[in-house]
Amino acid sequence: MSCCRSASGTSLSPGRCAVILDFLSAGLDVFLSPLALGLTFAGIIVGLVVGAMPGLGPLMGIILLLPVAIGLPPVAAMGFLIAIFVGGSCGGSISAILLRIPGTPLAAATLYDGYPLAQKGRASDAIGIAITSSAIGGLLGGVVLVFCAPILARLASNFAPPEYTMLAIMGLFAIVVISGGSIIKGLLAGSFGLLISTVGTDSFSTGLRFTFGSHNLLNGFHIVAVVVGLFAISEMAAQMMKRDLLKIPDVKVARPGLHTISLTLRHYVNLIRSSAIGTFFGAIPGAGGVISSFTSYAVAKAAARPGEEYGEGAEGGVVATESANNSTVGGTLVPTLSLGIPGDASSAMLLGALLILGFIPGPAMFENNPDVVGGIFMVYLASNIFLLVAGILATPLFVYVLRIPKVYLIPSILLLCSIGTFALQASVFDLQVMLAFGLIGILFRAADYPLAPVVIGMILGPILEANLRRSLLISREGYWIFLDRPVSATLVVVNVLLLVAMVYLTIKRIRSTTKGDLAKAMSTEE
Amino acid sequence: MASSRTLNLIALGFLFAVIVIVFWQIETDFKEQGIASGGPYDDASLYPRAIAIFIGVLLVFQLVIESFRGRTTTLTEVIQASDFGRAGMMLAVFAVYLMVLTTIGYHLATAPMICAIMWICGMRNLPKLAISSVAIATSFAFVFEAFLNVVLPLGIWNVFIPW
Repeated sequence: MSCCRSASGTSLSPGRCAVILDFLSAGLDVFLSPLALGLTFAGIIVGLVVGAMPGLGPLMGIILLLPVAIGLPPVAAMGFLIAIFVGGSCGGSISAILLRIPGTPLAAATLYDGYPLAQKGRASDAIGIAITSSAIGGLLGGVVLVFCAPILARLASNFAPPEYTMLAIMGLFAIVVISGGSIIKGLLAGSFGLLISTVGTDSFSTGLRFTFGSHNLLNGFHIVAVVVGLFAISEMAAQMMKRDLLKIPDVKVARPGLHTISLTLRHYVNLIRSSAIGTFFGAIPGAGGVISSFTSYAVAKAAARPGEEYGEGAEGGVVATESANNSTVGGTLVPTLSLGIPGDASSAMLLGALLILGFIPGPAMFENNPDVVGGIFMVYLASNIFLLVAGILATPLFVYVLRIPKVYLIPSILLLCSIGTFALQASVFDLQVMLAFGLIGILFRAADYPLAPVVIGMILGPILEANLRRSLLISREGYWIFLDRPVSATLVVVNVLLLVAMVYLTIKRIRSTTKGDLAKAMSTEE
Repeated sequence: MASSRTLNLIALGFLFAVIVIVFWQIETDFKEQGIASGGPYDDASLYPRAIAIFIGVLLVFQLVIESFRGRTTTLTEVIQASDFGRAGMMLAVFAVYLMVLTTIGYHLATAPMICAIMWICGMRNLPKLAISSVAIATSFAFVFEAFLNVVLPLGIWNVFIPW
């Protein structure tokens, strides 16, 4: 607690380093346990495996293993999940380089140069460079996390319910605007998530909402059951529609060596620049790793030296995309931890895990639980170091995993979904919820509705409602309270601008769709 | 097979049903409990009602967009009915598994479920099917029961493995 007092009480500008060191030392104490260390390392292995498997990825890894993690001590649990996030963000590059199939969308840009490098007989080098860039990018993102999150939390400690209300709306709007696809469908999905979060006992009036007389619904839907259903069950149904279920992928063994570290460090300017881009995009809710990896690739290509042939197996291309998408993880944890506003669906799940473990991310967590915050900083930094070690040494294992046919994977994942969801509260009702949301997930996927806003809406829902009602309770002028306070008024303006952007993008999309349909109709008539 | 427009309309219908449920509950259950009106503290309907109205407005916009859109490519051009059938059968097997899980227990229900899904995937080698389904079911049970202390459903016959 002495650490807590110093962490919260010290003025940030003169003693910023001391505050950060306080967090790190408090975190080191809890991190240096065999369980936390072991699970962080295990998380990296699991993350690399799920990242390498096309169709899974870090989000699915976190979702599938969340039920296992929430029974563990907080820092060990978060270490496991954050390490899956870190490992999964890098793992997609392995299948991108070897199979020309990105394991995750994050690794899509790695295809441009990773696969051509493999075709030139340098698959091991390409994987080694991808892993080293990911680890160094992740560490640089970690430095930003460690320095910026406490500052942002300190600033946010002056926030009152009106600011939090506007922040929650901003988080949802930003994710819908930036994540692409139909804006209206994104908003519908997010609003559906907000509604799901209202099921259960109202924390203000203690009235029961949408429980239909069922005691199972008194605490609402368990977020893990909902998310496993929405993502994992619907993904397995999508996988079942493919035809290569018995096929054993033809993958050649790759063994990256330690020399790939020096190969990567030759591109240090690219590495630092791409990590900075990744961290920046990570900190913006909704932007995420895909945008950051494509942007950093474009910037690296524009800044390439004459000899570097991007798109034909340039090492710099792999360095740019992989360092960017892993540094995004550090960036995305900044608003997640300091404001309680998740940067993307994976960080929303981490936020959900923290809530289940009994911690409310935001300034209060920095003040009351510096050991947990510091522990999260430590596990994130350690994850990236473990990534370098495990990634380079155990790549042949991940290559072997790529050879497992889907006929074994699909029932195994379904089984993991059901046991994991059952283990939450030994409840068959949770399994039924999982299946029901699996069907909703299939419908949403088929109708091209994004699923991430549902989860983010579900997590932001209670924050939004509680702060909206608190704002109205303390206000003497009703909704004008949101404009009376400078920070809240600024956030209102940002939200209005985001709304204008949404309307503009929707109109633009309708016009292009209508033009496309007209052209199609005309060509058919001809 | 359904076109993308039909699927969009089904999704819109689902969301419309959700807002109907919200207003129906506010008018009935919320009013009975006295939480459908009052100030921000007592009015538990304020927030869900606002979101339901927002969804309703978005539904109207989406319907307008759908009416502007032409009939687009049918999904059958991309995915065959048999592929949909596989996914449907998997979901049916999984639903049956979840229904019988507590009655006959994890150890008796899981291996047949895995076996059935592998069969749907196209595996026809019976010894391989039997061995792999039992191996997967047992290894998951070992991890969860022995390491994570999870008590898996025992069923009416109390079937368990003393690890």
